[in-house]
Amino acid sequence: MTKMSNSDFHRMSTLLEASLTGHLTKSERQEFEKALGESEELRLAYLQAMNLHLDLDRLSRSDEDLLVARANGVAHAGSVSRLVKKWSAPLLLSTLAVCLMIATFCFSLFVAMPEQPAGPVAVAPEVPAEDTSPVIVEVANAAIFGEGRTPEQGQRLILGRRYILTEGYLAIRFHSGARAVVQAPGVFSAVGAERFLVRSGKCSVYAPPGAEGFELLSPSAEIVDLGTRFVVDVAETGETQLSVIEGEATMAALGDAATMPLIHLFDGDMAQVDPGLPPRRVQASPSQLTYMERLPDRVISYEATMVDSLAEELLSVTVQRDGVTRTFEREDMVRGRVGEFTGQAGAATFCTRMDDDLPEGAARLDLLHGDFSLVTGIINPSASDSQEVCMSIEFEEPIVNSPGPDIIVFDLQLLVYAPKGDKLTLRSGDDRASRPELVVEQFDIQLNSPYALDLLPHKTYRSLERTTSVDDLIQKQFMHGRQVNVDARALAVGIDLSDLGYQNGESLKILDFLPATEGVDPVLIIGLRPAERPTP
Amino acid sequence: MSEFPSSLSPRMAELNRNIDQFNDDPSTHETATRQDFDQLLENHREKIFLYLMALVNDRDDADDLCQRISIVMWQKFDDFDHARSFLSWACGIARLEAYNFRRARSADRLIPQNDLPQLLAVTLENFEQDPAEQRLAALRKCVQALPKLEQSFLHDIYWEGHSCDSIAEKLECSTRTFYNRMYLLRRRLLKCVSRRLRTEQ
Repeated sequence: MTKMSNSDFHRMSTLLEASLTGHLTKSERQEFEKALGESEELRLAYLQAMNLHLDLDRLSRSDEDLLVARANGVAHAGSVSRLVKKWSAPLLLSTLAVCLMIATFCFSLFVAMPEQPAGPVAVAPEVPAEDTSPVIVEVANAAIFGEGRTPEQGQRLILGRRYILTEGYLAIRFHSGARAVVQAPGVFSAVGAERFLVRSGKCSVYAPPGAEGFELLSPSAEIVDLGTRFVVDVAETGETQLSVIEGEATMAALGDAATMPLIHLFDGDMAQVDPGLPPRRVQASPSQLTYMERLPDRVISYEATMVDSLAEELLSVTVQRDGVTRTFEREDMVRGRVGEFTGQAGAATFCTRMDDDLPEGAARLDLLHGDFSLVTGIINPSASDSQEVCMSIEFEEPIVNSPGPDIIVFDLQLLVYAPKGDKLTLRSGDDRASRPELVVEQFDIQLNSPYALDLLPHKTYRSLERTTSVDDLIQKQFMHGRQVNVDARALAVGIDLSDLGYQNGESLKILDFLPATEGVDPVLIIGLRPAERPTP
Repeated sequence: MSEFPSSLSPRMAELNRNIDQFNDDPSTHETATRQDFDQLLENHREKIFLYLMALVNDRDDADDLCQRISIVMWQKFDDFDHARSFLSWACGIARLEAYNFRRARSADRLIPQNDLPQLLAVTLENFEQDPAEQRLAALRKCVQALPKLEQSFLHDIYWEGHSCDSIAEKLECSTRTFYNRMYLLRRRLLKCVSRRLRTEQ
């Protein structure tokens, strides 16, 4: 019996799911049945999935309210009269029935009995009290001191708890619809459903219609949003600056409300409160306080095929481009192949899946661009005396500069190495002389990000001598593959061609990697197509 | 979209009446054989139903077939060699009946006339299945522990009967991507159920 490759298995797992909860085309069905016939592993997976499918169906009949108020908070009244099917042994009539028409035999089987009389039952589902605490809606490389985990999208703030944001950005949405973007370093607390205390740091607030009255507090000031966009900067010693970008807000020093002086601010106004003193207007300085409407454009997350909870091949990637979140499927991605490469003698140069061997010849180059694997790659390019570029990547088609990330580099990072990812130095390979270099100090999806997926085990192949060209990659002998015994995750960073000196609409064909201080392990490099693809 | 009947079918009601009549007529009892047959059927009914679902992938059709094959199995029960596997014997009957059933209805999807049904029966023999009550209790807890978004997927599909196409459209992703997501979710649930069954035993 042939064992399916992981990628084949995952192609089939999609068809398996479609066969359970969706539709298969005729050719897909034939393909699926052929694969079922050939793989015991797939047949077992099919039976397991079908068994769970039936159990979920049973659960939906016996536990009607199990997920009530889960989907968008909607309670599904009106379905309580549905009959409950029971398949359990005690209630099953496993007797034989006389088949009167043929006057001979009888049967029993799978009898479903209504447990209770049909008819509506006036049961009002319990709707839990709505949670109005603020919720984190976006995260960009954020780290909170003292928290055992990276903040996650959807996480609610605990009222009164002090959060110390040491890195990155968070967007927080309040019940009224008000939205605050806080950036590190900063210390903040939610002190009520619509009250936000910024002890230090920068915070941009947008209060849409309906969210008027949202209050932002600092150790020295109280700001009431009257429907506006504003930005606040709170110093560690309490001095609070407010700049109103649009709309109206009031600012007051903290103290007795009756005697507290208060000033009104409108578009373009700026004011400051020093601890213990009344607010005062200050000269607006556009560069001093920059309002942050949204988090930076970046790679937000990616999805991959999984084997026992370990990622293998990229399926899609979700990025924010010009403030808009969009998911790119494989058909929207342009792969890149190695055009130049240099590496040191003895360096791990190829990376393969644990069960695979290093291919021979030009097929070795496919480890980087031949599939969407996040485990295979051509790694550790490094400088040589004669060549400035240690690796160049040539894309299958030109990558057009659009707002936000245009190219995404996936890097295999062992858990013991730099959590922010390997530092990259990049440059245009088309126009080396006149375009600026870009140093990537940190990845968008870092080692501790909840979106960094654990990877399948892998092997590396070391070079016997210095690698000076792509021909060396293809032709030279490499040491026998060795298992890497440290777990790894796939990190991702988006590259905006604007940062490489490209104007909007200009395109790049070749991307250069310049020597890095530490090793870089690229396992997949893709470009993103700019235009919306029509739905097939 | 999957087809899940929301109430008992008239066929089932008719079956219940027949069973009642039968139970009232002791002259038709062939007690020992019937009890033997009953017991074997009871022991394997879940797997037989699973097998039928794997063949026809339609709950209504699987319900119909369950009734049909029970008659046929009873008719042929004298021929059953007790030294053999009852499940394997039942699957053989189910296979033939499923094929005839689909062909008679000119169903667009016929049961493949190759080795696949036989191979599925072999796999089924080795398929470990915990008791339904325990499975459902574990599944209930695992579903409740899922993130809300994933609960909403299950709710939409199993509780509300929405299609994957419509959910994918709402999520602004391709249906294929959603299938993959559902597959991963299903794997997680399977692991969770398995873990709970092992630790709570």
